[in-house]
Amino acid sequence: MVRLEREDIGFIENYLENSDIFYADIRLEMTDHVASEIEQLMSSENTEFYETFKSYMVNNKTVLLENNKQFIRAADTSILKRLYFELIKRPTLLVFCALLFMSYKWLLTIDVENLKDYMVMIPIISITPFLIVYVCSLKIFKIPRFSGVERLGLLYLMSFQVFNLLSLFTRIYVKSEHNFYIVALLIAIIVTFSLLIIKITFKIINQYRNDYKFMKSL
Amino acid sequence: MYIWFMANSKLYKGSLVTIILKLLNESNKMYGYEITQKVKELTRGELKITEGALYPALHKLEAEGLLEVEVKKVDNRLRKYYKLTEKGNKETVSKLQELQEYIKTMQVLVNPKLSLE
Repeated sequence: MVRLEREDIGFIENYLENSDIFYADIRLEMTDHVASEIEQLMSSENTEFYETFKSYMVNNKTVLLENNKQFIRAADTSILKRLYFELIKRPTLLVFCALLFMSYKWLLTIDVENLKDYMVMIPIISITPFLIVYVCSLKIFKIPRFSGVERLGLLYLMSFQVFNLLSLFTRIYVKSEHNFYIVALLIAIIVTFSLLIIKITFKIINQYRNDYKFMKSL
Repeated sequence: MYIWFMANSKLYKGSLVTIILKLLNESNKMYGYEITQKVKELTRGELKITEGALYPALHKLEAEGLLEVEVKKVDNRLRKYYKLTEKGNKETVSKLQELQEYIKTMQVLVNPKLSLE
């Protein structure tokens, strides 16, 4: 059985990367699949690497690119599922209730007029913690472009939009201290979500560090 | 589409997950290409799974927590192995049972005489 050289494997990987297969986890799997197929073809047909590679790609490139798209969709689904399962856990409900109570008590000590100014900043402030966690983790662990990690951006974007919408909606209701419970609810929702997203970010990064410990940068 | 290529692909399409789970249940761990080759070997080339069908199915099973992955360095490259989780083992039993019942029902419909024997 023919075994491909390191340079041939590098060639396949570069080709896939240049074909917009950015994420390291899907690319390494595709590289292995293509390399295994080419080794098989080279052995059975007694051909050279480049000629076999070219012929393989002519027939299979579309399938590989479609596979890449489906992989990204699976990564997004996986992240959203994690968020859902974290949301329905009992500790999440307890944290939410505690935050709701603390927020309400804190709001009673604040002037209504000042509160409106603070609320404009809520969406920006709310996404800052998990952006810091994300950037720090990437810098510290030097994680390559993994789908699960990069697609977290989608979750951050969705959260920002939801927080912004909630903030806009709540501002209409803040007219007196009697409506503080709505603001307390908003704060509790945002902080609970932020904590969950930070938890998911850590879990995903740790999972990649564990599963892909053979990669040089990990 | 390029999902399966064989005599009658539609009949087999719905069984892809069951086939993957069954193969992983028999071996401790397998990688994508190995699964395609194993299916080809077991069915003597009658059934071929393309990467366009296999990998999305594997990733979906992984996302559902039925499979876990292990990456190892083999032959100058990294290889992603899949193995069943505890939840995956339970799902395999259930899927196989489901498939056997389906085959039995089809048997009754297609060949009633044979099913009575």
